[in-house]
Formats: sequence, C-alpha cells, structure tokens
Amino acid sequence: MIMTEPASPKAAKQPADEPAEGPPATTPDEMELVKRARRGDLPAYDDLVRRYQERIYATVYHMTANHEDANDLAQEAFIKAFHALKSFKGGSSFYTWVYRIAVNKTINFLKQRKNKAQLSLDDLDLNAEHDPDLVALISEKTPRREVSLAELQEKLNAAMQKLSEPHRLVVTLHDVQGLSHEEIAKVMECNIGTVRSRLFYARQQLQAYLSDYLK
Amino acid sequence: MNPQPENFEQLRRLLMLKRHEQPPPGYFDDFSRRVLMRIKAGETGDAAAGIGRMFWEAHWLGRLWSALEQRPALAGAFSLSVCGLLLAGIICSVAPAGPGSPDLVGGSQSLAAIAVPQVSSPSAVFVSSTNGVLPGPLQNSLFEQFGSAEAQPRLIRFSEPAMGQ
Repeated sequence: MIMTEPASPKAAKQPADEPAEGPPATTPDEMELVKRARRGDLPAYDDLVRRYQERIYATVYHMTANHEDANDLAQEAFIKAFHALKSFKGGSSFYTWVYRIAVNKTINFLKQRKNKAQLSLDDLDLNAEHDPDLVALISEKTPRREVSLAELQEKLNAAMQKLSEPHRLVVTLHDVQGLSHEEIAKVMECNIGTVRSRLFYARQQLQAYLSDYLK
Repeated sequence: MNPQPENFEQLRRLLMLKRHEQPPPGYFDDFSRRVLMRIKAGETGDAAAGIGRMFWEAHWLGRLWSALEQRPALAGAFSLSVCGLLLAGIICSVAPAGPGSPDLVGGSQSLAAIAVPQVSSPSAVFVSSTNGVLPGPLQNSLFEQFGSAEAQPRLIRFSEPAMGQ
C-alpha cells in the first residue's frame, strides 16, 4: 500500500489532539542557571542536565531503539550544548534548544546508521502491566486477545522503525513525549502545518501497520 | 486497514506503551555526573564524528565487498593486485638496504649466502644448509701446524753407550 503525505490533513483540526503535558516553561531560575553555566559553573549545568536528562534520553531512545546509542547521543547532546551555551541567545527555551541539538545529532546518526539493522529495546517497566489504558487495549479492544504486552511492544516498535526519521520524530515528540505542535515546530525548525501533516501521515501509516492490533 | 483512519485514539493509547520503556534502574542517577566528567575531560560532544567516520569506513568496505561479489572479473583483478602487492612486500622486506649488497633478484648469489654473515678471511668458505656451525678462520685451526716447515719429520740418531767403561 502506498500512501502519500496529505497537503492539508483533516487531523490538524482535531480538538483533542494536543497533549495534556507539555515541556516545562523557562523560568527565571532556569535562566540564572544558564547564565552561571555559561560562565563555566559546572554545578549549575549539572542542575540543568538533571532537569531534562530523562526527556532527552527518551526521545533519542525512541528514535534509535537502542539503549547504548541513546546513552551516547544524549550525553553528547548535553556536552555539545554546554560548549555552545555562548551562542544560546534565549530566543527559545533552554529545553527547546537542547532538544534541537539532540534531535539533530540523532538524525545525523541515523543517516549514518541507515543500513545497520539493530533493535535492542529496553524491557517494559512493571507499571506497564498495571496501566489501565494498556490493560483495556489488550483485553477488550484488541481483536487478538491472546496478544501479550511484550508482543504488542515488539509490533509497535517494528512499526515505528518503518517510519521515516521525520515522521518517527513527530510521533515520538507528540504522542510519546507529549510536546505540543508549536514546540515540535521549534525543535524541528519547520512550521506547524508541516508538523501536523507529518503527524497525520505517520499515524496513518502506523495504523495500517498495526491494523491487526487495533479494532 | 482501519475503516476510520482519522480516529487515532486507539493508536495514541497504544503509543503510550512506549512511555513504559525505561533504561536500567538507577541509570539517571549517574547520567549528569558522566556528562560533567566528559566535559572536564575536554570532550566537545562531537564524538559522533568518530563514530560516523567508522561507519563511513564500514560502509565503504561494504560497497567494495558487494561490488566484488557482483563482478567476478573485478574480483579476479582485485585478487591479482593484492597478490602482486604481497609479493612486492615480501621482496622489499628481504632485499638488503646497502648498495653493495648482493642482488637476489639478479640471481647472482644464493639466499643461504645472503643469510649467513660474511667471513673476514680471504680464503673461500663454503656454507651449506647442513652446516650448522660456522667455520672459523683456517689459520686458527688445530691442524694448521702440519702444513708448516716446523712440522716436517726429522731423522733422530740414538748412540749406544760403550760396555765395560
């Protein structure tokens, strides 16, 4: 099945599309940390890293599907950000800025890794088995009721890896990480319409790949 | 295919599953410390360039390998050139560096003669592969005295003593 990316997707008008949780706003406290880190204050930068390490790591991880690669890329993104702090003007939030560095590094890495097939995903945490949404999805909504959580995870990740990098990134940032369209547009340095278009197309593809598991 | 492709609610719920994919426990406890250590070590965050170079090299080798697989003539030429380089390397490593040294390629001297150090004696020394010990100079030989004049046989007369004296 060949699907083309629509120019003006109807999904862009969905009212409930925006995620509940978004990125943290830049606070004066954070700006102070950035100024101190810019002067070489490593404890201040340590504080900044601790604030965003999980989100940055998760994004890189969902893009690479590999813990070791995500570890290296996330660390390198923070290192590069530290050395580039002098060029950070404060036009966007520090969070968006670091995100952009991490995303660019990850996309460059994936281009180089193009033909290297690897999938060593982390195990699900214990909370997954008690997530009401997932329990409902498996026990009631899924046509294949015998499907296990691990199998569902495997199919989902395989479908994600079939997406192109920009489409996978949009799905990761929006549906997994919870960023708004505006934030994604800033991170990817494109307009909101492009973000919505990519998101719609990526979801359409995923839905097709996972049709056996979605009623 | 889903009859209602624009209703992504179930897909979004399924994608929530990915939020439960977590790194090993305690991973983030040490994350920032590792970042700061690498900053202190002088890293610039461009280590991926090294990785990229490695992947580029691997990609280059992969392309060469696939080209060799697809074209037997190219594979033959490649193997011949590799053999030629190997042979040239062997010859260059065996040939001595001095200008007065024997020319192995010319065939003027045997390999054994090259391998054995030259004896300072003007007399000829023959070396064979079965001779495990190098012969020393001939004048130091234990049997040399038999070749000199002092070693010539002499006639010795013994006189008999007179009786009754």
